[in-house]
Amino acid sequence: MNAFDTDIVLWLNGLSGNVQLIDDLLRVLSSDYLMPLLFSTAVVAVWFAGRTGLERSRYQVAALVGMSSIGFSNLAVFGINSVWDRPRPYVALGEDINLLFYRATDPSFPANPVAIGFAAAAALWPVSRQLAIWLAVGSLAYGFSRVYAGVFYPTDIFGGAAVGVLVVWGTLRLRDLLEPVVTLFIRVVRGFSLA
Amino acid sequence: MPPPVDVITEQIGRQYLVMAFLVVLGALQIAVSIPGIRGMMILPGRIPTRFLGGLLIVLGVVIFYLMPLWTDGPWAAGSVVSDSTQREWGRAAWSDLGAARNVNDVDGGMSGTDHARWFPIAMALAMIVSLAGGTVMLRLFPSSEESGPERQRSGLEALSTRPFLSALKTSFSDLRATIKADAEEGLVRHPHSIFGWIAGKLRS
Repeated sequence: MNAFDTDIVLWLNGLSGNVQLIDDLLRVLSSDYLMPLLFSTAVVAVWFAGRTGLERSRYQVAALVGMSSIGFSNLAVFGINSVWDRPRPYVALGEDINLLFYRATDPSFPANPVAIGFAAAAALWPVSRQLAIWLAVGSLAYGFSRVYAGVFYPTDIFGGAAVGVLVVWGTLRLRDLLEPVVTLFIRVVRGFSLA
Repeated sequence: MPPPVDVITEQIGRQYLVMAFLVVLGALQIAVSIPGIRGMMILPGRIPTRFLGGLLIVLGVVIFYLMPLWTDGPWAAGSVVSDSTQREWGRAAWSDLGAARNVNDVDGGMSGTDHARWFPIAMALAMIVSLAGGTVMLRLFPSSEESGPERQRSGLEALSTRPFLSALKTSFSDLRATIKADAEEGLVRHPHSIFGWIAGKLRS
């Protein structure tokens, strides 16, 4: 734990408990259901959004990279968790934290949901900067809500973002190595009129 | 007396499925309205389809987060605290809604694996509904481009003007006719990939 993390989490979490509506909105935002669903859905939707044949192919490759990266991000976070079990702020700081979320049992670093959001954003960046920026902003808002709720440190959020982006970089390299299988997969799906 | 944890997880999973289905269906409708894939649009016209898509997304989220008001779960009014181990079974009050859904997976919430199980089901259902809806819409409002060279299109492009089953026929026969050549061309175009390298070695 470092002073930067402790100061920010104590300051942000210290804002909670004053306005019930803000606390409730951030509880919904920080839930396990809303933002991860929106991230995955955005990646799936991009598959269908290309206007021309060429654009559609690019979008579909990006969607495949995005879907794979979301899965690989989970694996990467699991791997990091197995070598570094960073205690959550509500464990390390105890009574100083006003916990707005349940007591998660997995380690704090890196923030898994933020890794997923940034993986989706980075994968879609080459085909739709606008959507990618929305996803990145959504991921940061999600991370903010979790720091506010007392379950993550700011560096967990930055770490999650870095994991997401690095995983996409790795997935793009893997995609190059696996060609022409990726293109052929899309070709087969096209044979079923879905690509 | 609350049900066992796996029963609670299953119940929350089914409620999540409803939200995921509506959200994915909404997002699909917005996405297919951009290139105008009429075989998947459940309303005639791009603007109404896009509007419906947005509405479905909002509806899915609102229903999911309001559902504890009329459904029993680990969110009984007055017992909802951040720590999901100490809650009672019942319906939530308005003031509990913010935290009601925040249930740890060990107490009946959904784990990452549960998400990975329900999301593809929601996606498949949303696709089926989109394709069925598009078929009905194309029967009610047939495309003016449905004849001539348009019929030769395959893939999603074919779905722009024709219903799924009709598009499937041309797409599949197109796939059968070209897949071998596509695979060979792909290997030549990617000599530095694993498969391209193996194919190169086999050739030499």
